[in-house]
Amino acid sequence: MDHPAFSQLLQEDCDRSHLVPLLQRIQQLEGYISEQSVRQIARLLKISENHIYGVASFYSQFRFHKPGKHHLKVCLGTACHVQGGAHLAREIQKQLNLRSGETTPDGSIDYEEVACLGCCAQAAVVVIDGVIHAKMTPDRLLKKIDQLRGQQSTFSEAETQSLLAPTSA
Amino acid sequence: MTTLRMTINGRVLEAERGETILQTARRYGFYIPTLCDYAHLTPHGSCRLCIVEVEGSPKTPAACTTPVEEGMVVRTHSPRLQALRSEILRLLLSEHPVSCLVCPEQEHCDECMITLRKSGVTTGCRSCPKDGLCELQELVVRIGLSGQSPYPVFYRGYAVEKGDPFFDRDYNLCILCGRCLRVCEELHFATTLTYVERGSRTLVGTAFGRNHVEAGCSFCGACVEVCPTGALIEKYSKWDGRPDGEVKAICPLCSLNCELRLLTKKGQVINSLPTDLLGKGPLCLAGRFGIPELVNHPQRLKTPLLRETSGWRQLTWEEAAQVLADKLFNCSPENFGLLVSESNSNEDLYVAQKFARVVMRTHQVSTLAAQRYGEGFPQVVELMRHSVSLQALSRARTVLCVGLDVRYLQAPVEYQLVQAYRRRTRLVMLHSRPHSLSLFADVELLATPGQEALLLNELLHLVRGRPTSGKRMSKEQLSALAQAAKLLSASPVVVLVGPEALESVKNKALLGAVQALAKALHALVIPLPAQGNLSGALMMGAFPYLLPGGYSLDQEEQRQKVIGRWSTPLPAISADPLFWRQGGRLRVLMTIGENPPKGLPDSVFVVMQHLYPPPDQKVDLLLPLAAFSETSASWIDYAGVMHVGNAVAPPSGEALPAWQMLCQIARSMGARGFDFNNAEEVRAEIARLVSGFVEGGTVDRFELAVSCDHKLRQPQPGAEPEYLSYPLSHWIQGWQWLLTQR
Repeated sequence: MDHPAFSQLLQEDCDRSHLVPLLQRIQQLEGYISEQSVRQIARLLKISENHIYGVASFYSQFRFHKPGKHHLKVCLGTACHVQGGAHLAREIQKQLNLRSGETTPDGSIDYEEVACLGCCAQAAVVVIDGVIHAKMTPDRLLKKIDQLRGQQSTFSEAETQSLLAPTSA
Repeated sequence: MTTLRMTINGRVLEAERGETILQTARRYGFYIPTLCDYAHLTPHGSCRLCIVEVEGSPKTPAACTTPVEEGMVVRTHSPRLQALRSEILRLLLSEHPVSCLVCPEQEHCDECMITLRKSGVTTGCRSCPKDGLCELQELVVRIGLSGQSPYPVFYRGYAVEKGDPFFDRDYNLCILCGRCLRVCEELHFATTLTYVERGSRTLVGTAFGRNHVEAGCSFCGACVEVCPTGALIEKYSKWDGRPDGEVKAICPLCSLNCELRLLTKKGQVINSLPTDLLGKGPLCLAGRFGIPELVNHPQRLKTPLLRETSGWRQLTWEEAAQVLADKLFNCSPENFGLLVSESNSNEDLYVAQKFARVVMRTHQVSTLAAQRYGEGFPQVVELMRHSVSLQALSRARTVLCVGLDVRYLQAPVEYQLVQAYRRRTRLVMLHSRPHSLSLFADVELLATPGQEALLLNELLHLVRGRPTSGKRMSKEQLSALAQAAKLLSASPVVVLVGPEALESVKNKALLGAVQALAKALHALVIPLPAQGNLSGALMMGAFPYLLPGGYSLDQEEQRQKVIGRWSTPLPAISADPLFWRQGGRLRVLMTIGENPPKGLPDSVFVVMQHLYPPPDQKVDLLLPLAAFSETSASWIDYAGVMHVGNAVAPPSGEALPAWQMLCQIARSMGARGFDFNNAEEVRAEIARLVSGFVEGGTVDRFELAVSCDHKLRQPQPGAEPEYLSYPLSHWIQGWQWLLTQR
């Protein structure tokens, strides 16, 4: 019961209603929900791991894999689609063998397809580590990815926090 | 409860406040189609088939989740509802394989399935193992879908999950009614099944896609029983189709003696179900899935066999009885021994001891219980003497479980504990390795093997308000002890003692400590032995030092009663309680449901009546034994309650129950008092010697006591549960597989 996410909750009486806030806090601290943390929640709240997984997998905000060093988002909204967003997605699938929500085996890049980023004028849009890259083409995207794999995360601490923080389900 | 008036389909009727529309409608005989509803499970409202029209409401609420109201006017059938229900069914079927519904050759399927070929072939479409038993199929027929469905067919294409023992899971057939996960939640502390993901990707599954063993499933089979479609199905009876019979029987695999509903087809047991899943609880994996394998095993003995130099010779029963009678006729009392099993029925045990005492004139009849329990056997018997039904848990405020692991075996106890837990009964557990219930215990006392007695004694000190010595204990143990003592001060307390504690190496000290603690707490103690009829063996007098009724041999009143009933004096010579151990004097050894002990000299003539052949041991005459499902038989459970099971299927080959075989031999040896025609007559005679011996009654155990000071223990910590001296896993493949996973 040594998980940092539990420290403040341990003072209070915990019950099942604390499950979602606990999951959110763990994701905030670790970036994902690991099997280890599910086991610890089960022990704390006295519910089965299967039950916890059922709840967590219902919400799209929770992820069960360790996030990569770099975050790559490809927009598949209407404007981006017209400008070839789907080609970008296909290229990533082909070159990196990644589907939305997955991370490369070396843990360098995790990949996500999103519906709209709100900057349709710049379509097709790709977001790499929180930075928007406009009018993207498959060739340029592959070059960017090669650069990413060769370097460390460009994230500041605060950026990581804001990225990992739960967005609305 | 107050009543209110409402109208269903134009009929004014009275409903109970708090009831749902569905409950009221059913009570008055109105039919409302349902799929996700299951008796005694919390309503779910997910299938939407039970929609009804309520006057004044534009919506069509689900009858299973809508409570009745004063003056409510409900219609269960109307053209609008019919159209809606058809639509819902079509949507369900768009994701469910439906060849069983649309095949134009349905009618001719059975005729066409017969083909003359040398090898086994599957002909006819076998797309779903539940064909003919599926509730969805039934509903479609009943609601009467007509015309082409406007929806495209979508096959989800999940791989069929066959990796776990006992049942297969094909979630392509799943309609997400949620019965399986609700029943899992209802019956167990830790649920195995849950909905994973959401929307169109929703699936029933486990955390992180683990298999069921890793996910903590206890294989109680409740989910398989409640599944309306073929998504969950027993491996053993997967393609057996509709059973043609159902008979109640009693499970002989442990002392709980659960009632079973055995389903049969063409004279064979194909499936085993609990009688009241959400009342009495589920069965354990052995009772739920193992029984067809145990009784239909291809190695079952079918005819009497005599060992000759050239191999086994098949005999008729007359020949076998003659061979045996000849042997026994020349055998003096001290040279004869009869070993019985604690899994035999009362009839077999009673006639066996009567046979030894009346025909062979010896008290040398025994089970191996003394060997199994060793020094602690008198304590085990003492606990069993005062044992009560598990219903006592309903009044308990604290339950102490000692050496009880109910994940795979004795699983019905878990449901009793779950119910107690929901009533806020506190659970204190003492055992040597954490298990499925550890998570839910209020206090878990983890002992190193052999330390249990010490912890209980320390607990006794604390309960009496004295300080603990604190020696040989870790810090965690000390704080757990203090908490446990606090919880145990809330009486009434019930102590459950599991097989692990009863058969532990130092059971004398451990059970002594349990008794002392129970006395201090005025607690009830319920021992749960692993053997199916240990109580029966004691009460039938199948021990060298016990008479029928559990009285000791020198109890004069019972002695006279027995002598009067049998019209023959009891043997005068004293018996060797360990006759099977010293082969020196033994010339003929009979075993019933028990393998002969190892190391017998070749000169001993060994007769064995059993379901299965012996494992590489010398046996001279092998007799086939009828299984518990093939004969009317009775058992006495952990609480001393007598249960009668019925014959479900005809015996395998020429197998006979032991009492019938013994009567035949006794008669051919000219003995009197063995003219029983059926099991009822045997039970009638037992009832005259054992008071309280009636179906459902509790036998009178007041005089039961054994003293046994022999040290013949072969410690077998962690030994597997046995049935008729074979480990259960020997015959139940899935259980074998499970043990490799632990």
